[in-house]
Amino acid sequence: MPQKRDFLCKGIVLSFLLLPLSAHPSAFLKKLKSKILETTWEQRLKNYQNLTTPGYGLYVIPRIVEKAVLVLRKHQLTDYRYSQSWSDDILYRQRLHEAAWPIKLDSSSEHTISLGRKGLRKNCTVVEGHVFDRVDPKGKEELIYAICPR
Amino acid sequence: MLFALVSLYPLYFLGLGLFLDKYLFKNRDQQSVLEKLFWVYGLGILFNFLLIVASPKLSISEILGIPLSIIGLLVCRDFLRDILSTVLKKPFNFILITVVCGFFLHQILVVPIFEWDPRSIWFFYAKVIYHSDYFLGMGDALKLNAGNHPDYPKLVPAMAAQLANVVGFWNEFLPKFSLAPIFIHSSLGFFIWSKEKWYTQLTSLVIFLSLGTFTWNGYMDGYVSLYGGLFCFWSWSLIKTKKLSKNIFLCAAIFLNIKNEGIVFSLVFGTLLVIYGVRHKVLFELVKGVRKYLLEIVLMLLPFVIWVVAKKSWGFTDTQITFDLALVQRMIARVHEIPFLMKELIFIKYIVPYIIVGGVASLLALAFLKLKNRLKVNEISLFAWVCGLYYFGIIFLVYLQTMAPLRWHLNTSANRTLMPVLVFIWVGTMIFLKDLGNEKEINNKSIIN
Repeated sequence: MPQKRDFLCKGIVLSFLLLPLSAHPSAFLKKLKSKILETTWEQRLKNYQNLTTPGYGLYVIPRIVEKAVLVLRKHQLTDYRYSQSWSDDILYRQRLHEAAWPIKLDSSSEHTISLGRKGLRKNCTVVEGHVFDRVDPKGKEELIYAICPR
Repeated sequence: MLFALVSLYPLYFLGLGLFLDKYLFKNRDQQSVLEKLFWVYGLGILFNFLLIVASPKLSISEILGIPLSIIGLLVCRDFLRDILSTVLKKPFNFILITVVCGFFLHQILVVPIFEWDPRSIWFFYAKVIYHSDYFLGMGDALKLNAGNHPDYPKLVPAMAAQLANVVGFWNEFLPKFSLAPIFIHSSLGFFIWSKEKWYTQLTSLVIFLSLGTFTWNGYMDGYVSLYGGLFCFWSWSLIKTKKLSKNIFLCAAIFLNIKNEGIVFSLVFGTLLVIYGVRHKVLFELVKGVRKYLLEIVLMLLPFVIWVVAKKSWGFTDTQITFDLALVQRMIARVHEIPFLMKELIFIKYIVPYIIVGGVASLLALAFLKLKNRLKVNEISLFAWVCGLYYFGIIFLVYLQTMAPLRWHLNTSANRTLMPVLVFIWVGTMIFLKDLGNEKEINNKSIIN
């Protein structure tokens, strides 16, 4: 009898392992593979080599945001604000806020990060501008760092 | 060199826990080697958190913690030898577990912080703590980020900040290694409960695999669910054997410090333990345990209490739900959406097939037990299932009253909020399998040894 019970336990475990496989074998394996290997082997190797590199890994955020962070750091700023056009893009807004830290977002700051020149006040002086390709929707977009006195 | 230092990081918690257990709590209990390992490791995690919370600088927590940990490891050499001999008894098991854990740890290390919540909540606050260099000095930063759940507990962010402080810089990889101790600890817990039979071990593995990316991408939902599952095991053991393990308090203290869902767990487990406790006469055992382990419980809950007081002083509350007339009105207005909500929660989300399959397996095991009448199947065996259904009910009500558009809320969160249900159901399956496979052991006084 104990062997029978043991056999049943094994059967139960195997059946619930096989169920998702048997339903859609290729879809299941494809999903499993994409989940586990969401980072390519080349990227993994690069990540391993740079595990102890300060600041490494900003490639995970959009390139334009990465550049904005680098611009803020290059000018050794302690605070910044973003324009309405930048703020309208939730992804850019949030990623910049996180990645730029400890450079703080301050609505009274004169250092402005903007998406394009539209919407910048007349008294703003553009310090840097960088053009990037946008994937979705396709096109160009421009990162502007400007000083806008209050 | 730096990498070697980081590799020693998980060991730090073991030493800290051993020190505390030996000198403060005086090894008061007889426990199996693995249960003691689970206890001291968890104690180390929580005590380290307390050090971070209470220290005026992150570096002070390290200056205090590292020597204590080294002393702990040196003084408790006998225990380390016991661990080694236990491991060597079943070397194949050990190799297998090392390979499986190695895979998950590898994933934790090489996948950067890129998902939304880990970036904007968990590891953002870690960065804030790291740059503030003082845990309780982040109030202003939290206010700047008020839209991103600043009220969430900070166990993992604090550990990540400490790790960044030890290495001296921030990047998008190394701080995430703070998940490693939590992963090692929770997987040890599941190993303790599944070690007798290969099929229960396999079930444990299925639990971890079904959580999938959530064990390494930096979300806390998987881990809070795992500790909820471990709490289920120890509660079930308490009801069944009328013997209390202090690990039950340890799991509760950890899930409270991981994510706000821990507070919901407290409600679920609290009410169920009272009901089961009264019905099965174990309430007294539980109260006696609270008295016996009062010092441990106070120490383990202290960081959580400090955190709650601090966030109240900064003006943040525990929950975004206010119990008022508007909540009732929202629920009534959504009555017609109940079928849609049930459909979404039960059939659509990717996580659900695992719950259903686990549920079917559970029912099969239960039906077999009942048919053959070998074991007295009562509500004790159903404890984890009841927890799962109870939790599901709460989640259902949360969605029913949500202020956000229902579809958006479901799409962005349901696969994570259902994770505890998944783990509880699978824990229930494991309990049935244990009942089915270990009839003799069930009748013994101790379920785990």
